[in-house]
Amino acid sequence: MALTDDDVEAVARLARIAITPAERAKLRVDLSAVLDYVRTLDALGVDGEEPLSHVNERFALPRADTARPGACLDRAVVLAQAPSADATHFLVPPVVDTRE
Amino acid sequence: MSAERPFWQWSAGEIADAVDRGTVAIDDVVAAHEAQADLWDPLVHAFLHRIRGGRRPTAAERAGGVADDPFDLAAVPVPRRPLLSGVPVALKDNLCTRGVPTTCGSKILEGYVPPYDATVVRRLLAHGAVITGKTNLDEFAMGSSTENSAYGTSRNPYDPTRVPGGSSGGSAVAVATGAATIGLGSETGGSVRQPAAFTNLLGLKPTYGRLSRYGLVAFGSSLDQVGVFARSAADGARAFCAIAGPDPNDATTLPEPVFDFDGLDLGPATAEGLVIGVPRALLADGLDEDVADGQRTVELALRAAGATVREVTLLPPSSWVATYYLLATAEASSNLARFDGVRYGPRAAADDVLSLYENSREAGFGPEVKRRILLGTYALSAGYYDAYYGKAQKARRRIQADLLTALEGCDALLFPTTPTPAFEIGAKVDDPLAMYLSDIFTIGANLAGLPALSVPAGFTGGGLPVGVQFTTRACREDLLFRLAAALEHQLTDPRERRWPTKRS
Repeated sequence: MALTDDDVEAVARLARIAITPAERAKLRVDLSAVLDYVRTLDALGVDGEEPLSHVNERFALPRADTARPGACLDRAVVLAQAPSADATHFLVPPVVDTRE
Repeated sequence: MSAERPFWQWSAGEIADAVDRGTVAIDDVVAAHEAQADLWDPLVHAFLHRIRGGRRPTAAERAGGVADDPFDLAAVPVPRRPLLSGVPVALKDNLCTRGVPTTCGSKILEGYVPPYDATVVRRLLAHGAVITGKTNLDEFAMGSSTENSAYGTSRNPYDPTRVPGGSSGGSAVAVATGAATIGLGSETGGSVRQPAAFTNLLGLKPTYGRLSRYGLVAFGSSLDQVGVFARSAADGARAFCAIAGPDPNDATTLPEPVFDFDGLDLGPATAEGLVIGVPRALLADGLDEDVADGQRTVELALRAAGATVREVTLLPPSSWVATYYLLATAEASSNLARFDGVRYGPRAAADDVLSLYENSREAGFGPEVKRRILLGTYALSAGYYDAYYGKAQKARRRIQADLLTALEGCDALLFPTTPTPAFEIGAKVDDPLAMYLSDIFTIGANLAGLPALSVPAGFTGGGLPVGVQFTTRACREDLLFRLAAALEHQLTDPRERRWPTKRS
């Protein structure tokens, strides 16, 4: 499975990772090699199998939906980790461009 | 007897018993382990953050902790008796520790200090353990050598030109050099067992759901488990019992009761009558001669201990690798979407939000993490989902059934942990597929959710450790430790272990 430069660009855009031309070239080779290797699964003949998404295939009962007052991370402590914040919010560049 | 050996050579049981009796001071135990870290760490780089004097449990932490975060305190029952009093424990740096940096070996979490502790950390503290520091790993646990860490490579203390294995390499090195008595790592595809095999340790990958993942930074959520490094079966069982069991904060934990440590028989007769399955075909292909010798030695020892060894057949482990590198990367591409330069970690310059994400992730992630996120994104993308991710989920069903079928006729499976001993630093880091294949024997247990324990199986002529692993049915970790103990009685008393000798 040989990927093209366009394939790598498209998947990098989906993954929200900017890549340089040099990275793109290396990724094209590396990802193509791994995708070739995983095609060996075709020989297993698993088309009739039910997909398995979770080994235990049972889930714990939901916990009681009760409030635990005071059992909450401190907002100032959490916001102190952010690269940009004010007293109550994480800050990011404008999401909606209102200049036009 | 034990008093003649330095504290850093003591077992967890010896330390805990002496501390509980009041015959040794925790300060002296901690100081001895710190001196080992001072001696070794400039060479082997096990630690990313050391905690001078150790983080010791407060009275509140010994009683289960305090309700200052959304954590459900029912997760940390007060121990009937503490199992780890004064025992130094090193933690892989993807386990959240309140007030202590947690980087996952990544620049994208540089400077991050979690506001809460992982459940396993809280349980360690409730049992009286002392946290000595956070250890090096491949970035976000993606790798098999620690070479993918953004903060430098760890080295194998048995040969510093070689890797210690990964991704939990730093915890392995800390325990192998006496800088800690117990180490915690995490496994997605062999990241505890492989470094254990490379550093003369026991490495446990528990049944999926046995240990809480609350506070373990997620990589592949359907595969991730916290794991344990120890130098003896008794120590491994002790640490496992201290931290295992259901957690209301992690809905994937299992309700099954964990065996009682005090009731576990680790005597010389523990393998008698057990049937051990060996997949001979798996051993035929390109196995290193020293590793094959280790396997033969262990088979002979098990027979001498009263076990029967019989042949079993398994699907080719290449199918494990292929399945794993689709599922784990797909889950990683989703889990690592949260690292975007908004809530924590460094942010790259950008004029708009999309560029903020793209530039922060470009600058923050290393090459292997980018490779895996892109591979997983591709496997999940429209038009390719059925051919890759969907097919891998079907293969996972087949692989789980195959391992369970093999276990119907025996108590445990036995085969090498790795195809070769520790490889040289730099040998595989530019060839992702070659690196992935160094995990070829460990991945099956992760895909099937089964417990597996790597145990020491001797050394090569050049002095490199070799390991083999036992795999068994879900929730039978007790059986794995009994088998490991039987081998200790037959082969090497852990008190006479071959420690690494420091070379520069």
